[in-house]
Amino acid sequence: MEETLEHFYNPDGIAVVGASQNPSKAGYQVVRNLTQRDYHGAVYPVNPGADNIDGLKCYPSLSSIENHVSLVLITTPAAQVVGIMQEAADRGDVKAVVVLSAGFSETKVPENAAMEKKLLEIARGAKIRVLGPNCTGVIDTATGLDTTIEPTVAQNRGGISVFSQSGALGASILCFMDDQPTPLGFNKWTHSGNTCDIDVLDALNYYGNDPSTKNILIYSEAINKGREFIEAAQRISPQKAILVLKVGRTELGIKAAYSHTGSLAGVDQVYEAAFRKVGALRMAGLEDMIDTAKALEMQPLPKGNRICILTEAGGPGSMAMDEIGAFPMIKLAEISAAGQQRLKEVVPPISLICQPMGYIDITAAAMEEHHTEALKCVLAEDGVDGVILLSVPPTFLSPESLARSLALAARDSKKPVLTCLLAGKWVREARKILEEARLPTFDTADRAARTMINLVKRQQYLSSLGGEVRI
Amino acid sequence: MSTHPLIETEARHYLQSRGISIPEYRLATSPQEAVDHAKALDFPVVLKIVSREIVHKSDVGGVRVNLRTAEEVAEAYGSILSSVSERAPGAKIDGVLVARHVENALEVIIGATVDKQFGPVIMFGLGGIFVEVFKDVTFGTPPLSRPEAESMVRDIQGYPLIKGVRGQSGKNEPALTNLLVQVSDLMMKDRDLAEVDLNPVLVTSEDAYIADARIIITNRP
Repeated sequence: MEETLEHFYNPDGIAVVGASQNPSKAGYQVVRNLTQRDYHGAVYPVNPGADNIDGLKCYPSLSSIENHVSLVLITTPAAQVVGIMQEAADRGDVKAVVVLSAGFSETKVPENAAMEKKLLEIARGAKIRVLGPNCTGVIDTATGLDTTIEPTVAQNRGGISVFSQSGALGASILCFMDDQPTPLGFNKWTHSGNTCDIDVLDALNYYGNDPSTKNILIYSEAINKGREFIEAAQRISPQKAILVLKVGRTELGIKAAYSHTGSLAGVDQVYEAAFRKVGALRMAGLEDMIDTAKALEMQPLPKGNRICILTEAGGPGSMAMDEIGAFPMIKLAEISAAGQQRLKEVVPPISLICQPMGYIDITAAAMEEHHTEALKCVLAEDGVDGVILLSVPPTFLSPESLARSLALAARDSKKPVLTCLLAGKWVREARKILEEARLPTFDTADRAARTMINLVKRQQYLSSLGGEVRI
Repeated sequence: MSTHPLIETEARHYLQSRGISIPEYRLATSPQEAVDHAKALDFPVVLKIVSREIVHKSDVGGVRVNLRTAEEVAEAYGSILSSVSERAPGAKIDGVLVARHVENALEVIIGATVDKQFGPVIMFGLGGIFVEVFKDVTFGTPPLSRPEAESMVRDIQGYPLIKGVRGQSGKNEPALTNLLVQVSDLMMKDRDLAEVDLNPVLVTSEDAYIADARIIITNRP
């Protein structure tokens, strides 16, 4: 059996069984997503009651499609799925099936769970790989392929590929990414639902080998083949960051995960140990995940653990310091005496320079050039591996103009600069300008700091391998 | 699959035969023999009941530590047997184990088990209330590299106790790290092991000594 998602992502002919003309049906939305976006491959709707769906010729049955079909999407009621799987197996050309239909093991009804077992048995016998049941399948922004029923998900291109056991979370990840000041693109997206066959390990292996995937985001309730996961992640992690959101940190979380998809979450500390071993970054939540993914997508990794906090306001600066202080692996940057002298010349006189070392508060008196000169100054310091820049642009300072200058000041830097402009609506456009210039922005100072911590963790993992740090 | 526990002498022998060093110990079946062993090993010593039917030796009064004279050893031998016969009546007794008492030691725990999803897993923590109340433990997945084992030791909250606080000398960290790596290698090599519990391991500034070992073996069908 092929341990790959290749046939889901690069199908030679897609049949949609349960295709519908009724806009309130999943079978309608699936066909629509395949025809209204950029996907150019062959699509064959199957519905005995229609001649034509969304301008496409409709077939009465799977077996009546005379052309090659390698991927089948099933959106019919659960009771028909086993029969359709048999038909797919009998065709001989089908390699992959997405079962969008719900009503299987997730219902906890033994008869329904038995149907899931049966359909998998048929698939295995015919060497067909199955995604689902109770899932929405895959999205590929490079080809426009979209097997889902999600009408709202934007398809911005990027280097991040996503695997989610949960459809709701998988979709939320994409929505959050789209909702950033400058939409954060993605590459591939896989949702496994009940996960009867294709699982997190298959996705990890596939993304690991996929040249257009730069970093990998995973939401998972359980990792059943733990040892194989460790081995795969050990192979992939040196090239691509693996960000994992894994529920089941508490008894209650474990119970909810079990009730959701029947996953036995296992001992959380063991997961923690495994993630640490392979350098996978454990995410505290969705915000953490999107923040970190964004920083990895836009910025180089720091070369070391010495971080400079450059702030225009004491409160946000202290919040960032609090976060940094909780991680002994991070050090505040060492600014040279000459650097401190230079800073003194370019920032307002009341600024607090290196109190403590590595922490610079240029105060609310700071104008645009104070921000940019100070940033250039600290980026030029050998003792600085990365900068967290915080500012609450005062009323008489144009945030957009500040953003443009900062983008310019950080443009040629080989060191990561994470920014937080704190002023709600007032800085929305400025954040967009920063992110268009690939300077990631964060909602709060502590989130910027936590993201920097994740970058340092990634860098430390890579340097523990003794290899070169990817920048 | 079913499992069976080894008694302490078997567990010690098991570890020894696989290259893990165990402090010298001897089995006594009379007070006089216990005293002779104590003299041969040198005082102070500890005495522990050995019985397949007794898992929690302290709970039945089956352990006496820091015995400094022949009289104390003879007395302890008698009191262990009478206490055990009272609290675990009918338990078949193999004898009493005599070993050197280790002074100025910090008690730590090294555990290993087989996780359903991830296979072998190693646990490390400080003994006593640290593990029971504070759950101050770290986990690692074998095969452990030396840096991985080092960070398992350094990542517990109570690490300053190992490193040495308030003028106390630090404990032998490399010996501890070494033991973690050895247990990890053992778990990778011997797939019949269901559980290893080295509790306590006594760490001094000189070395790390396995003071008690519990091993559970999976029965092959």
